[in-house]
Order: sequence, then structure tokens, then C-alpha cells
Amino acid sequence: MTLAQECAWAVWRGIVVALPAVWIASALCAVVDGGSQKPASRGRRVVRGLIWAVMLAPLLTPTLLVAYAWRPTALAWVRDPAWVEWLYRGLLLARYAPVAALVLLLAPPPPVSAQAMHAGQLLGRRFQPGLWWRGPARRAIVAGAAVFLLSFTEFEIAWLLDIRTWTAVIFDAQAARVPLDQMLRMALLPLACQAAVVVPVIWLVLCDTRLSGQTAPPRLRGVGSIVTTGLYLPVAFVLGCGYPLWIVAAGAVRGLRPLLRQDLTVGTLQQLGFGVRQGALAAVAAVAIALLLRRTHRGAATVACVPGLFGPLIVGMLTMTLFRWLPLRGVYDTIVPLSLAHMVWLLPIAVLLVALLGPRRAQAMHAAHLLRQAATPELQRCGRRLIGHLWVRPLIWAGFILFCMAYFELTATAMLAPAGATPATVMAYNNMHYGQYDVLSARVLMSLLLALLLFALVAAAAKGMQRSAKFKVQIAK
Amino acid sequence: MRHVWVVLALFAAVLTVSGCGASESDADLVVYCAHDEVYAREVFDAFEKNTGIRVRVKYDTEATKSLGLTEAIIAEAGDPRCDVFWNNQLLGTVELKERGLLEPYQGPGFARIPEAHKDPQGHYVGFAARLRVYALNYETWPAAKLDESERDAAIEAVLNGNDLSRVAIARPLYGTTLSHYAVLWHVMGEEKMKAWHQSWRQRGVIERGGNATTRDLVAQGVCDIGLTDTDDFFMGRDAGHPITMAPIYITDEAGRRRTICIPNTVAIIRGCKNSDNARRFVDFLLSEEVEILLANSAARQVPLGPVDESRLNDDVRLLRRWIEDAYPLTGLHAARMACLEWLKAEYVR
Repeated sequence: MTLAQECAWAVWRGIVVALPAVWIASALCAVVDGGSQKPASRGRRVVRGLIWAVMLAPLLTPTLLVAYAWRPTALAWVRDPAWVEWLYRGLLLARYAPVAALVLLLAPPPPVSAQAMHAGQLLGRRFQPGLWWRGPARRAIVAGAAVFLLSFTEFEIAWLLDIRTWTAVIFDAQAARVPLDQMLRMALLPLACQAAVVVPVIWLVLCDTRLSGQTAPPRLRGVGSIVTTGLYLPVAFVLGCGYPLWIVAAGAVRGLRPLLRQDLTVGTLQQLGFGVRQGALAAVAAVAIALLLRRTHRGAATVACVPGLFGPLIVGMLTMTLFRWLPLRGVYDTIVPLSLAHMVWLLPIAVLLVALLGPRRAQAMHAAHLLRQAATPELQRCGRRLIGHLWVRPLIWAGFILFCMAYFELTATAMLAPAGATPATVMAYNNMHYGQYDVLSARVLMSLLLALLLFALVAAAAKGMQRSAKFKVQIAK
Repeated sequence: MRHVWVVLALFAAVLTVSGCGASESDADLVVYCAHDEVYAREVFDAFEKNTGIRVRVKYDTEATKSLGLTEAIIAEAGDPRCDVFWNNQLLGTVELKERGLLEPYQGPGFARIPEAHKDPQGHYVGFAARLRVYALNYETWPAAKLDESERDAAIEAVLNGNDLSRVAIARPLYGTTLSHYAVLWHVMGEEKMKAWHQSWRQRGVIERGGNATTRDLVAQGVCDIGLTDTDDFFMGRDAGHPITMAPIYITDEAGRRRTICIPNTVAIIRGCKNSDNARRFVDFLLSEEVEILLANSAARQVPLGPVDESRLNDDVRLLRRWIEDAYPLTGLHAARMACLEWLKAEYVR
């Protein structure tokens, strides 16, 4: 197929994944959010927590594991490409429906509330597109657009499952030494497809920023939500997390001994370190820029986020072009290009996370600001400390999520990692083309365990900081 | 605003600790290596241990094998970052020589490699080779167990038949399949080669990403015959899959049956920053010890220079016999470039 045909097919795939994803997400929202104003019982909270964990597991499972686990199945179905296509769509749906649910739950409420819609209907017109567009549809459209963009730009799973898509054509072009300028010209078509989604959504979000005060996301009501969630969650968990983890863990049990005996060298540990370093750099940079953008005009922040929406393949290629340009050649073979590419790619997510996870308790922030303006220096100090602590925990979590994304990102990393500093995840992905074998499973598990270890450290640090903040504020009182 | 400065300070700290400005200048030697990291790492470790020279390695990805690094060296021509290119093929290296990017060197390693596998001026030298082979699944295709001549005839019969849906080959845009195509282009000529390719596709040959995928298709019994390399084949056989192999033969202009042998090559980049260390590394790589090390690795790479045969395993001894009939690759640069241009038009539209 030509690039145009691959693009058209990827657009169709994106739509096929996005539509059910939004529908499933609305059912998930009803189950995980509940919407009740009464405090839930302990048992209900535990069940809800479990549902959250099962829902988010496929999203948080690195593509590395998913692609590795399902590759033999895709090979076995090589004569039935339609099955492989459906498997791929299933994996995308399992992975990205939780993104839609998060957008529905966390996005700011639309300017037209449910009450306004109802009032509109009472005034005589059953369906008013203008109100609907600025009302209940707004969050669903944003959620659908997010899933579409993620599905459209996905590359790593597609490559290992041998799914032909526009990203594979661009990668083939790179491999076959098509000149970079020609390749970037080729990339204009998929960029246009993405822009066709991004621009209207940005316009939709920016055109009317007044909030209605309505906070509940659109939900699928009643038995429908329970049936949909009951069917979706187990299947998505097995597809996107359970089966990949089982494959890797089973192989790792057998492969751990040979790995420790012969393959675990200083070099392997260094490769793990390179991954942590580039993940940390990209996360810290993205959070820093997101914090700066928070203070700028909303339009400027949106424009700054647009390049990242085009995915790591395009961002990586553009960064490579930029750093082969004479004035920047001095830092070409360092971690600067990779960190920059990751930062650009992560920026939209960082801005979103800072907005969503940032201090949500307006009263606490207000009290802290009042304390900072108090007469006594001790109270001023206390206010400053409180502001710091209201920020620190969310920033740590935002940073950690971004770190994980950069740590497990493979496409731009494979292109831009400097000589001698290729991270372990890219090495593992590279070796996955040879098929599944035990030592490789052990290596993959080691990369995952390192991320989990860092997660435990971050969680402990965040908890410790919160305790320390409470203690200091109590002392100040 | 304070937290912004805290985050920026943290960024600067991570940057400083990680040595962001550190590039190849703080290494003793920079090697671009297209050979698989799992096999090459042992060689680099041995070199560092023997010489104390610190090596920084940039590996290629499986998908873009060798072409990615060749492209990088061409792009960096004005300001080379790489000292030594360890290619896992020959034809990409020949292209670099044609572009004037390689520095000739004739050290002790050069002397021990036969003429057929090196550039006469010493711009590059071949060593530790692979062969193109058919991987055959003897459970789904019992003819794989026949004796050599009957088996070869059975393979011919399948490949000349109307249905190639149980035959797999890697996408020929890169890797050793591209070299294989370049040989066919040279031997058959452009028109015949294109007709052959179209005929295979029309008869339903399964084209997938790389040689390892091809091997896996055969190992899983999805296909009976796959065109792959010896290192990929051995990896599958060692994993316990029911596969065996047969050499891929082509008939040359003189009507003689020839195998396709693809050596690793090593070359020093013109204008590199660590030329003394680069020479030491090239000598080390072309030594008998390294050829034996690679021969006894899981990849079973075939030594091209003289070695103590008693130190080789049975698989490599068999392959050493096959490479005696290998088709010479050194004159195929023009064929490869022409073939690649045509393949780009076919696959990247």
C-alpha cells in the first residue's frame, strides 16, 4: 500500500478504536466515579480502588511487554491479516480506553451544563447542536480525539506485530536511506491528518473557557455501565497486562539464572542507568516547562504543546534534522537531542498533569497565601512552606508518570541515543526481533522491576513529605 | 515561582551528574557496531580488558540493520563522530569507501584475511561471516530430512511451483536480504530480477520484517521454508525448534552453483579523532582469537582467516566448507545501489 493508503487505513483504525473507547469510558466513569455525594463505605472504596487498578493496568503496562508477548500470536496468524488487525485494535482499545475515561473524569466541565441543556429543551427545541457541542459532547470529543491521536501515532506494537501503518512506512523510508528532507515531506500527510483532529479540538477547548460548575462527566447509566465494565475490564486486563506479564515472568523465572551467571554485566547495569538518566532528564525538563507555561497565555501554552502531539517518531526525526544542522552539531552526539525530543513529546502530557494534579484544594491554597502575607515572619514562613508542600506531592507524581513514559519510550530513543548510552529498554526491544527467549524475558522484567522500585521510592518520598508538612504546620499552629 | 526554580535546579543537577556534555571526546574510541549487541559485547569487553582503552559503542537496531549506521556516518562526514565502523555486512561498507569516507589501513589483521574478502587498498576488511540459508521445518515439511541432493531438488520444486504461501522471506529493503537481492540483481540482470520478484509476490510468498521473523515463521510451522541467515537459524535451532537448514545457491554467469556469504567488515573512518586506538581495535577484531570467539558464540560466525580448526565446533566446520563456493560480493556496489533505488520505489511510496 502507498503512504496515503496506509494513512487512510490508520485514520479508519483510529476512529474504530476511538468510538468504542469513549463509549466504554463513559461506562467506566459511572462505575469508578459513582457520582454519589455521600462518603462511600470502606468496602466500596476498596472495590473502587481495585477497579481503578484493573482499569489503568493496560495503560501502564509498557508497550515493550505487550508487543513482546503478542508477537508469536501475530506470526501464527500471518495468513489471516484481518485477525492480526483485530488483535492490534483490541490491544489499542485495552490500552487507550482508560485514557478516554481519565479525560472524561478529569477534564474541566463544559460551559453548558446539563441544567442549561434541559432548559433549552423546555424552551421547545429537542436537539440544539450548538448547545450540545458546547455541552455534553465536549468532553467526549476531547476524549475521542486523545484516543484517536494515540492510536494513529502508535508505532512500537505495530512494528513488532508487523502491522503495516504509516509509521512503519516512514520507518522503512528511514531504513532505506530516503533523504531526510524527502522523508519529512512524506510525513506531511500524516501530520495533516493529526492536525485535522488537533486544531478543531484546541479550538473547541479554547473558544469558550467559561465553566458551568457542572463537574459530573457524561456517564452510561444503569445496568449498561455495569455490563460494559464487566465485559471490558477482564478482557482488557488479560490483553493489555495479564498475558504480557505472565509471558515475561514465566520466561524470566527460567532466564534469571543464566542472566545472572553470564549476561548481567556492568554494561547491562549501565544501560539500565542510561534509561533512568534520560527518563529523569526528560521528566524534570517537561515539568519545569509545564510550570512555566502555566503562567503564560493559554493559547501560547497550547501552541507549545502541539509538536508533542505528533508522536515520538516525527518528533525524533525533526530533532535529528535539527541537531545535524551545523550550529548545533557540537551537541549532536550527546543526550541533549534525546532529552529535547522527549521533553517536546512529553510536554502536552506534562501540561495536562500539572493542570490536573496541581493543587486542587483552592481553600488550602488561599489559606496558605493569606499566611504568607501575615504579619509575623514565622507565619509567613509557614505559608511559604504550605504552598511548597501543596505543590510538591503532585509534582513528584507528575514527574514520575512522565519519567515512566520516557523510560519506556523506544522510537525516538533508538534514533537519538548517543554512542555508548543506549538504554536497556531499547536493547531489549532490539533483541525482541529475534523472538521470545528466557534471558531476554529476564532482561525485560529487570527493566520493569527497576521502574517499580523507583515507583516505591517515589511513593515513600511523597508520603514522607506529606507527613513532614502536616507535622510542621501543626507545630506552627 | 519558587518551585519552578527548584525544578530547574533539579534539572541542572541531573544534567551535571549525568554528564550531558560528555560526547565521544571523553572516550578513547567510538565504534559504530551493526553486529548484534549480544555477541559483540564480549568482544568489546575483551578489547577493553586487554588494552585498557575505553570504547563507546553505538549499536544499530534490528530493523534498520547496518543501513542506519551507514546513513549516520554519511551524515556526519564533515565532522566524524565514529572512529571505527564494525558493519555486519560488506556492501554498506563498500558504499562508504566509494564516497571516500574510509581511511586505508593494512595492519597484521589485514594480512591474515584472504584477498576475496577485503579491499586491496585496505579501506575495509571482511571477517567472521554468515551465510544465506533456507530454514526448513522438518515436521511440517518432511522433505527437509532427505539427503542433500534430494532435499535441494525438493526445495527447487517448491520454489518453482505455483503456491509460495508456505515460503517466507524478509522485506528486502535492508539487512542481508538486500545483499541477497543485490547478488541476484548482478547475476540475473535488472529485468529478470524484477520479474522474479514480482513472480514470487504473485505466487503468495510471505514477506515480513526481518530474517529472525522469517525463521520464527518456519520454527512455528506457519511456513515450511524461510530464507534467512545462519545466525538466525542457529538461534532457532538452539531454542529447540524442529528446523534444519540448507545453503541458498545461485547459479553464476559461468553456470557454477555459488553460496552467498556475508562477512562482517571493519573500517576506520577518515578524519576520525582516535586513529591510533582505531588501528589497535581493527587489529584486535581481525585476530584469530576474535574470529574463534565469534565462531563459538551462539551466532556461529565463520572465520575467514586461517584458524586452528580443532577449536571450532561442527556447525562452523560445515559452514567453512560452504563458503569456499561463495559468490564474490566486493564488486556489487553498483548493483546494490540500483537495486535499493528500485526497492525504495516499490516499498516506500
